[in-house]
Amino acid sequence: MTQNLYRLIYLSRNTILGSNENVHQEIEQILAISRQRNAASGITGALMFNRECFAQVLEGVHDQIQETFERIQCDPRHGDVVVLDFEPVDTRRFSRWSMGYIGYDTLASKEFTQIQLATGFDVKQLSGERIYDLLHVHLYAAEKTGSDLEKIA
Amino acid sequence: MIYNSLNHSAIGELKINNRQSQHSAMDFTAIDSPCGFAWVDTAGKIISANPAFLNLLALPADVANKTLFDLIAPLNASAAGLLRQAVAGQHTETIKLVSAVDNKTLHVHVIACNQEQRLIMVENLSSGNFSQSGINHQAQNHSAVPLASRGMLNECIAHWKPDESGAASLAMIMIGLDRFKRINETLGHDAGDQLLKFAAQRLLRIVRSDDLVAHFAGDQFVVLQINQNQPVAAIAMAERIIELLKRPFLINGQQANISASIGLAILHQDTESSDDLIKHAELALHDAKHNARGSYRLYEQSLQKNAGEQYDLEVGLRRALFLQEFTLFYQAQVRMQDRKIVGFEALIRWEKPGAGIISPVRFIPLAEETGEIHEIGKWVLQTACREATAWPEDIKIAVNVSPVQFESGNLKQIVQAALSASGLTPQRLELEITEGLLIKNVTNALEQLREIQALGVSVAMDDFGTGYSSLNYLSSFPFSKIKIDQSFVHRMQIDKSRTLIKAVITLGNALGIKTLAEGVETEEQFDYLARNGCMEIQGYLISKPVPAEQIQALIS
Ligand SMILES: Cc1cc2nc3c(=O)[nH]c(=O)nc-3n(C[C@H](O)[C@H](O)[C@H](O)COP(=O)(O)O)c2cc1C
Repeated sequence: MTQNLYRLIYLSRNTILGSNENVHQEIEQILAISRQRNAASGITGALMFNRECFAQVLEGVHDQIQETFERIQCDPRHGDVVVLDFEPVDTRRFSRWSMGYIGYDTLASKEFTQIQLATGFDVKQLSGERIYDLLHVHLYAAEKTGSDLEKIA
Repeated sequence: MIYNSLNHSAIGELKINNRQSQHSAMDFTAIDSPCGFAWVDTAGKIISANPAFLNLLALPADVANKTLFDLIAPLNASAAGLLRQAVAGQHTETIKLVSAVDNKTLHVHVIACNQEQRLIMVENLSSGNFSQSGINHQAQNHSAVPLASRGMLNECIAHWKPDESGAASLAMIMIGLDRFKRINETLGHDAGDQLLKFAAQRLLRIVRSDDLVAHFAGDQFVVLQINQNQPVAAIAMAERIIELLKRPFLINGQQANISASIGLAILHQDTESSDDLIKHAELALHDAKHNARGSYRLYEQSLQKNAGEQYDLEVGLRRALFLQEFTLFYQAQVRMQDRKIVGFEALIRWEKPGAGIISPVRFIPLAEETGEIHEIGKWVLQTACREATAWPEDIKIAVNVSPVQFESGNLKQIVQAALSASGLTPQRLELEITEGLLIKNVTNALEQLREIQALGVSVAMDDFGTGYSSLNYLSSFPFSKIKIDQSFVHRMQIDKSRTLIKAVITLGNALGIKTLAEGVETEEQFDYLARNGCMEIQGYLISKPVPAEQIQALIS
């Protein structure tokens, strides 16, 4: 099991305070360390942010996801972590990104906000699949147009 | 925040053979571990060291009262300087050192346990022998997670001294994982071990570098805060730990959720002696778990008192039957129309030597919790049946039974045995049950009640109105009587109580069930009840509970 490919989808609440500038800086830092560490442990995925919340997909070997997630769990920059999905998968869909990012002034992020509004922020109603697709579609679209994506690893 | 797991990496694997006195500096010479271990004072003078310490640092056999820095200088001069700084400081430091003698890479951890002494541990990174030296099953489970052992924890507590400011104190944060047994049962022990490992790692990630993290027992951890402002720091840490351990874990391809409860004890804040720190933290943890899982509780003296009393009560209760400290008192139940005594309710009384009369309100819940209620309940049934045989045939005896007594499944046999041993006519026995019985496992409870009723015994619904008061219960079984709780009778001047009393009486009449009001003390109450069709009463207006010897006088 431990060598099998898994994917994890979770949501969390942003707890970074301060100016946009400050938030931006922290996120830059998160992305930098993520890209470095994920590449080293064979993890791919994407992160989406809409000021209120983070949504993240991680793909990789079970134990590596486990280890990375434990680090992420202890990060004081977010809280109220809810795991939407943790299950074996056959293939990676984010294999191009050690951590793709969709920021808060993007279409995808707005759509994410709308989904949240529609479900009344009740995370139990949010489907991991939907977040997954949203991230996937927008990352590819952004890559093509070069518009939505702030930075790709 | 400091993420500093390295600082703890040596501690968990220590092999401490003999637990030392907590008051003198521990003698390390007997510590058999691949890891070096020494106490030094702030000037670097070695107080005690184990063989591995001497070996790893290539020190001579006789190091007592020599200064570590001087001894180490030939090995690695710059490390000696760093070490001097670290030992002088107040925080935990780790120094990496390559030995000039044999090229071994060593980690030297300096831990400031108190003002005057430093604990130094040396770990040989080249040999990798660290993870193999677990001392017991528990340590092996987390061979990858470096935690302090219980012996280390005791040492740190015993050697703690306040810093100059005097404002800081030693705080013990005792963490219990709430649903850990369930994880073991549902996901397996392997998953349980992994969860312990992750929980420990989370703790190590958020503590300060001079905090000590120890695995205390199966699902219990301890964080010791050495010199911080208390209780502020301990409370902040407790809140953070609770929040952090609530977050999901990923284990064996699944999500696992637990919560943590925390007990806090702080030296010189209701805990005067460091010897009591662990005990008090455990008491506080126990209280936290008891009140609300996922919460923390700061130890205070009242906890100790309560725990002490509770303990005495528990032990006393276990002996009470054997020592014949229980007696039954009987309270008369009269028919309203002619005030004739038609029955007595048996009430248990416990006279505990040295403590006087203990109210059933206090000891029955405890007996239910400990299971003692089974024996006590049996004794009550036997005694009440036996004593009632001395009364006229037309007087009934009512006996309370706890929902817990139904759990064993043999209550019918116990009732039957009490009847045949005493020779009491079954029709004279009435069991009083509470609504609580019908909440859990209704079907089973009703089945047992029917079996008991088939013996000829009647069943009354006690304390009606205090619990869930579902009227459904009344139609679910042919109860012989509804007892209206005394709290309603006492509050009869309130409209709501009067309405309820009236409703219950009306309902009883409609269903053909007798109604009895408890706690009647005044003629005024009597009149109101009589006017509204209540059939029987019980209370001080008629008689207080009396011992068996006084019953004859009451009847005649
Ligand atoms: C929302 C969020 C997502 C993160 N995603 C990752 C990630 O994918 N990979 C990663 O290594 N760290 C990620 N981090 C950062 C980690 O929490 C952590 O800071 C980092 O891994 C360094 O850990 P360390 O200081 O314990 O070595 C994330 C943090 C946040 C707040």
